[in-house]
Amino acid sequence: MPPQQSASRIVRLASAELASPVRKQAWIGIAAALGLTIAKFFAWRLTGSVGFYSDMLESLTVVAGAGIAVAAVRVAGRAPDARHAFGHAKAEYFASLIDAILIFVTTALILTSAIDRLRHPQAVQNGWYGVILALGSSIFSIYFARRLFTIARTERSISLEAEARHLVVSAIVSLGVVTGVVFTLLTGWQRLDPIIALVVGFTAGVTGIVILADSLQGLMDSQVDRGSLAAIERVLADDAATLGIVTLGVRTRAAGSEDFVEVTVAMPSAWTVDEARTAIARLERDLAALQPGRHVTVVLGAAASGEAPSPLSA
Amino acid sequence: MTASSTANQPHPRPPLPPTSGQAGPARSLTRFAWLSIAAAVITISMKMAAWKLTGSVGLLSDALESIVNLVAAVAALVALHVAEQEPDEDHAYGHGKAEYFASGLEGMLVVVAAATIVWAAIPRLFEPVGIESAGIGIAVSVVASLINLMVALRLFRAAKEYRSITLEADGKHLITDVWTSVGVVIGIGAVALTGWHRLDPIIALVVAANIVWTGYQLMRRSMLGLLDTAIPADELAVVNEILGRYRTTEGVETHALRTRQAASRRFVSLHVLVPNWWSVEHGHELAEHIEHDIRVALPGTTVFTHLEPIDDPSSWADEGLDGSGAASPDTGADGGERQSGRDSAHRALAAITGERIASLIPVRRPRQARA
Repeated sequence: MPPQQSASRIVRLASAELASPVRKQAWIGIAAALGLTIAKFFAWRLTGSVGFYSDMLESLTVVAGAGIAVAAVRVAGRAPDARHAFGHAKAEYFASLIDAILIFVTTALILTSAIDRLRHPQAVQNGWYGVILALGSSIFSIYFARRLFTIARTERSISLEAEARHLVVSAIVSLGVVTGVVFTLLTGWQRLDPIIALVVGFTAGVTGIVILADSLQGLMDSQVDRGSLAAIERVLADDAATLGIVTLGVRTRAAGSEDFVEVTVAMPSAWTVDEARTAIARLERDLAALQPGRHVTVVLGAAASGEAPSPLSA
Repeated sequence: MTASSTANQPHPRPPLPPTSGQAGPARSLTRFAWLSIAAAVITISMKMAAWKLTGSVGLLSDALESIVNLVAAVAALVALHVAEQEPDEDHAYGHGKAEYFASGLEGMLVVVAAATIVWAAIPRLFEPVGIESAGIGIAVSVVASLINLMVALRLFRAAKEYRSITLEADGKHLITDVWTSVGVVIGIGAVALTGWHRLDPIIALVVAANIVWTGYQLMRRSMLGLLDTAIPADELAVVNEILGRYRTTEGVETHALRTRQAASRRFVSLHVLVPNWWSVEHGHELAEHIEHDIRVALPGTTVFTHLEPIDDPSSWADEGLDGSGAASPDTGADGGERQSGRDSAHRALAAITGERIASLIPVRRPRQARA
């Protein structure tokens, strides 16, 4: 294949990637996190501070997490197929699971180097350059995380939201490190640097645990959140009263930016299937209207005795 | 509802015998995890005792490696315990998916074990070292492997009987230990016979490759299980066979067949299309029969049926997951197996090699899932 053709192919692929807002944000997220990591790398090399080193590693997990998020968003967006009849939305939980594992590895690296430095303290050099670099990058992180949060909300992407949350933690971590280095520079107390690094390590570990718990919950077919469930139950109660049917039970499970709702109902046994269809369609429509990305199934659980006016005549 | 339409109702069906529909065995599966924990504790103590007696560092590191078995067995115990919990407010579909967490972890531990073997073997490939005196170390490790082998075989049997991927994964983890020991013994024997010292690390690398494959398979299956993958093709065929029977004998239709699994539990959901004039009572009865038949053929299956009138065009246009009719009858959610993957592979190939070569690669037609 001639080179200009492959170049145009790359451009085509890239423009396809950028056409979707979620994917575009995810890519920008990778680029931004990579920039932050590089800034912190220089801060570390300049100063030799173990605090900046741990800060850099922490940013690196943001890069990795963002990269995984891109892959996850791509998989989650795939149409249902024969092997995954319920769609691929759960891939997003899986991405955050991998993210959590990476964070744990980083935590271990940070903690070991911090403990090592605590036992063999070392002076921080060129501290102020490092402070400026890290301060700049954390301000940038916060600005960027705010943008990501907005997009994640409108697009209902848990990967993007996780990425944004991760960036905020990263920015807080940087600020902590900067404070530590400034104090070290002012007081000359060398052990403060590794102590701050230890705190960074623990923060990263806690983030990892939160992300892990979230993703495990999601992979466990968990109920949708209480608010959504309450809304579903309200609609069910209203519709059941109007349609003259009885709701026997409702089961829900969340799957990333989508969710599944299964409602079991009882209908007057004398209704025809045609009449039942009208009632079922109404229920499904009303429940699906509550939230985009919701898949509703109404199951006829029992045929109740008793008469009710046909929904066709209503 | 008029009298004439009731007269048109099909014959009443005989009442269904009660089915348990339970996947769970009467006794808890955690007893197998305890068996595995016991095996781990015994092998660790054996190796520790041998280390105390001989002072051999090899035995100590061997004992430390066995601690991984203990960790894995405890993870299996926790996962099985969670998986056996009844459905609750927060988990309306039960807790079966927890089994995949343990099997995924076992897969990861197995890969890490293989990595440590590779780590140790590669330097010896370039700078062969003589093997330390074997003696008691080998004997202890062979006995430990025999214990692991017996437990693994028992776990495999239970895994098959109760369809537990956690038990299977724990069994496979134990078997990798057996393979490692077999590799060590063969390596020592081969070096003793040929005098070629590089043979020992080479055999270790072969063993490691085998272990990596086992771990990869475990992680892959766990991941797919967590991502709501369909039930295996042979079980799907059983479902389709039952549905086909109803289609021919009852004049009903079925579509939008969707399946997923949570370790030992299967979930099957489908639309049943019946004549418009059937009563709700009759339609429900038929649905109950279909659900019953599937549950009997595949124990531990939760079946959801969605009843629709067959003559309503909208019933035919809601096969897509969103009920939007995005899917055509044959390439929809229940038709095109791995179609999108194939398609994109084909497109990628065409982009690299040109359409002429790519067209030589067969593109699988969508499988007819509706029989």
